[in-house]
Amino acid sequence: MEFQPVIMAAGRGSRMTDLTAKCPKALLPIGNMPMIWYPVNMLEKAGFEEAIIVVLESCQAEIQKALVEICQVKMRLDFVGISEDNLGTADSLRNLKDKIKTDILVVSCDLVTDVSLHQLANVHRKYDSSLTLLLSPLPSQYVDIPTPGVKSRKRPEKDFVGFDDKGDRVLFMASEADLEDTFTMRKSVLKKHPFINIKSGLTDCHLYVMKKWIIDYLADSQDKTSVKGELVPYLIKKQFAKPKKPEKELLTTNVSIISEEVKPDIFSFSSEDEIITQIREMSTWIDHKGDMKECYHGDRIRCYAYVQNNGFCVRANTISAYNESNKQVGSECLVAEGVTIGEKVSIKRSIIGKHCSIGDKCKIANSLIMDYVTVSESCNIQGSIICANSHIGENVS
Amino acid sequence: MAPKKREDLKQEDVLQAVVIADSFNVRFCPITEKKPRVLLPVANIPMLDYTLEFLSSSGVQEIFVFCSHLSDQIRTHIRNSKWNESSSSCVVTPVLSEGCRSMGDALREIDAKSLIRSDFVLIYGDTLANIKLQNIVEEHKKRREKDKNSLMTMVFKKAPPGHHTRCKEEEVVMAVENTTNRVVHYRKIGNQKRLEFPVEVLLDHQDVDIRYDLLDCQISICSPQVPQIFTDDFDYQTRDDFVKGILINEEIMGNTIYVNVVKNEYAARISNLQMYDAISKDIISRWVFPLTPDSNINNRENSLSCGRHNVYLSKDVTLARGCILEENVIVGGGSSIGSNTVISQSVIGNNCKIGENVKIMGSYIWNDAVIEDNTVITKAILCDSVHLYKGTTVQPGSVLSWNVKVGPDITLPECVKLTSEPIDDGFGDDLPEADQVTETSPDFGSRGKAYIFKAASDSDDEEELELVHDMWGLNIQSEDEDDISSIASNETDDLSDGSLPPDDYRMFYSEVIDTLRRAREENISTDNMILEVNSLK
Repeated sequence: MEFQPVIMAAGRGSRMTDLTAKCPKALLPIGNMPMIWYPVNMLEKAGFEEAIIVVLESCQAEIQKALVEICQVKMRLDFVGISEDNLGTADSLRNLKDKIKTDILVVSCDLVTDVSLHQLANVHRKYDSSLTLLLSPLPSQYVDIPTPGVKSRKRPEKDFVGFDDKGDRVLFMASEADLEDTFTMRKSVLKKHPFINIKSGLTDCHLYVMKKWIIDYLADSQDKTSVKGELVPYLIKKQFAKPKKPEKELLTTNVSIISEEVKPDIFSFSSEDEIITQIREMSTWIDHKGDMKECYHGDRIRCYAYVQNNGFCVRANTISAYNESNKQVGSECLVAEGVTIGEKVSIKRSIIGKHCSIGDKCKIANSLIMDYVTVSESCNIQGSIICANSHIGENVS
Repeated sequence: MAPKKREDLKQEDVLQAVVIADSFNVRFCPITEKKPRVLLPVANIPMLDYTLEFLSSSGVQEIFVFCSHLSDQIRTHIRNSKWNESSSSCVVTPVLSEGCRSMGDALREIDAKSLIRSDFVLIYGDTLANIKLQNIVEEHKKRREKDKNSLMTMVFKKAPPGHHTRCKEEEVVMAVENTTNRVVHYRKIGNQKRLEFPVEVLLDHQDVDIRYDLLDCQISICSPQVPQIFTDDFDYQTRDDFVKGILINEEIMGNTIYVNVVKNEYAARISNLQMYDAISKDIISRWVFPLTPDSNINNRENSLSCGRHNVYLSKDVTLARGCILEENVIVGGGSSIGSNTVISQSVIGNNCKIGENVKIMGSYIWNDAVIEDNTVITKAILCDSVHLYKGTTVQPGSVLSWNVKVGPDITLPECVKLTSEPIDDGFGDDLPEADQVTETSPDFGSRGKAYIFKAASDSDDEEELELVHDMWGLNIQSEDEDDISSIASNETDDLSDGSLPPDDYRMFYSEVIDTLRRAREENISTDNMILEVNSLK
């Protein structure tokens, strides 16, 4: 087994609290399937036979039931419950350390995409990469659509991602919020990579392929709590740092050394197989032009990305994105079983959950109606999300 | 030379070019005291001829050569050249202006004389290129049709760091919009280790390339507004000032600048001695085709013929038996070479006399030089009429200016610049930043006639002088190592990078240790100590 998939489904959906108050985020329906079904299905299609799913302890049973019984997933699923207070994604990975035997594929439960994973894996294999990300162009319509529920939401923040001249290696990553007036580049980095293409229209899909040593490193350094927020930027930045040389010579004798705490360096984890190093040294393949330096300039940590150019990819982590993903999945209308619809009802580009009843002369457009919702007569519902067990009175619009 | 007649052709869109035939700096001192830089020979042909040839072959029909320092020499040169013949494909007009100190002044002068009618090519007189300018001009014009405010297209050559024609002085980093090739940020690097870019570069443009792999050829296609803008704004001295100014005022004025990157063609500017060396080698190894030593671009009688290993010989060269011309050698007309002499990677001018058992490696010897037996010359420039007596050794990095005589049996130190006459003032008006202090020194042999040329250290531009000294032969290697060490010491501050730079830390600690040590020796009271340490922060 080359990769061990890990699905992170312990998120609480802090960006869509209105919806996740009753229902765990992973089980929110997208096109009448729970959200978590999409990444699981993607893995299943790619041929994985087992997966680790990180869930909150409190909803472990619920999710398990939803996946195994309702969606009839045949993959072997290994549920790992984590306690409520330990919410960082990196923390979750740290807990999994004992289960992880190979490189891992981390995917978030809110990713709805039709990307074929082998392309990502190919990038990972080709460059023997430490970390490979999936990036996707931010759909433009997605910025403008009105958010159901809350008005005047801020625009999603832009991430800036810098690539090398082949467009694979990630050299630079920063988000709009982190930058103040300027951003800096080291001259040494520019020397190695004189051509850096910075794109701003890409989003990180939270799908990562990582080397096993990254988990070891995580287990060792306790300060990182989030994968996207801390670990990934750290790794991208560390690509260009030189491993510390072991400091053997002691300082002059008159300065007394109290106790030098030896902090394990990230590079001590990233050590490579000797054979692999040798193979690379003997190979004529090289990843850059223009100078006679060794392949990868001797960088031990290398981050690459696969940019999905066509196809569909949405992260349903905000209300607007969630709404959008629903629309994308059910391209026109989707009406589930047990729904009663009254006379002269028009439903456009909407999804209606199970056992709903919709009164006469309703107009429903661009909306999502969850299970067991009763909509009374002459309602006009547009661009909204209506959660489970709601009742909507007559003539509401 | 007949503007009246040309008037009719104006409608046909004559492509004009402005050649700045002055470098406005002292990189080639002391050689440039007697001859302007553009007339110095590169592979035995004056630089200016290459530039003019390049321009005329790319369809330029009217060229203004702008000269200031020793301008009458340039004028005479142009008058005697093939460009002044009736068969010449373009009109070359020298424009003289003695008081001109920068490219900005030159363009202001051009604006005042209103010589420019349409888009023109702006180029330095020491540029070598074989770019197809037509396409670039075409592209520029198309862009102008769409957007009147696109002022300039700068031509860059793709050259990754480490490319030998990259000039260490003029490294440039740019942010270019990927799809349109528009320049959104432009800066020189100098000695900075970290480069800061304004965030707007990223915010305002979707897809930006940060490019450090470009070589500035100093060729630009300018719109006719450019000289006017120079006239309006007296601060603009160089093209860099101009580009910076335009980019800063972009929002107000709406003017834009574009780049054009050439990949396979050759372009470079001889801006200092290192570049002189690099470009000479490129010419000899035919990278600049069709501008090669044997292409006879200035109609000389004695043309060169190219042999194996890029050995170019003139017809009337006298080679004694047993002399070896290894590879990449040019020997000009009327020169003679004695037996057992070894020459490689070098250019020998016309009418030189080279004795027996001489070794010449990587050197440039201009016309009428006399080199006697048993001399060794490595990586040096010897100007016209230099005389080396027997047994002289010239070590790497040396420049021997006009009429210098050295020897016999003398070994010159490395990187020495010699002139034949002590120079007092009187020259300083033209190039104020380098006072020349010369002194007679006895170590140039009994028959020697040479003085060490020094640029004075009281100049305000320290860094520039440093470069002048390093320029020839010795590569600037130090920076790389510093860079690595700074990264290693940076290891400690993880993601929070915003704190003090590492050098400051080190400074602070060493300072504190010094203070503490002093306190112990002098028994300073603790309170005073604390105060002192706090003040160091």
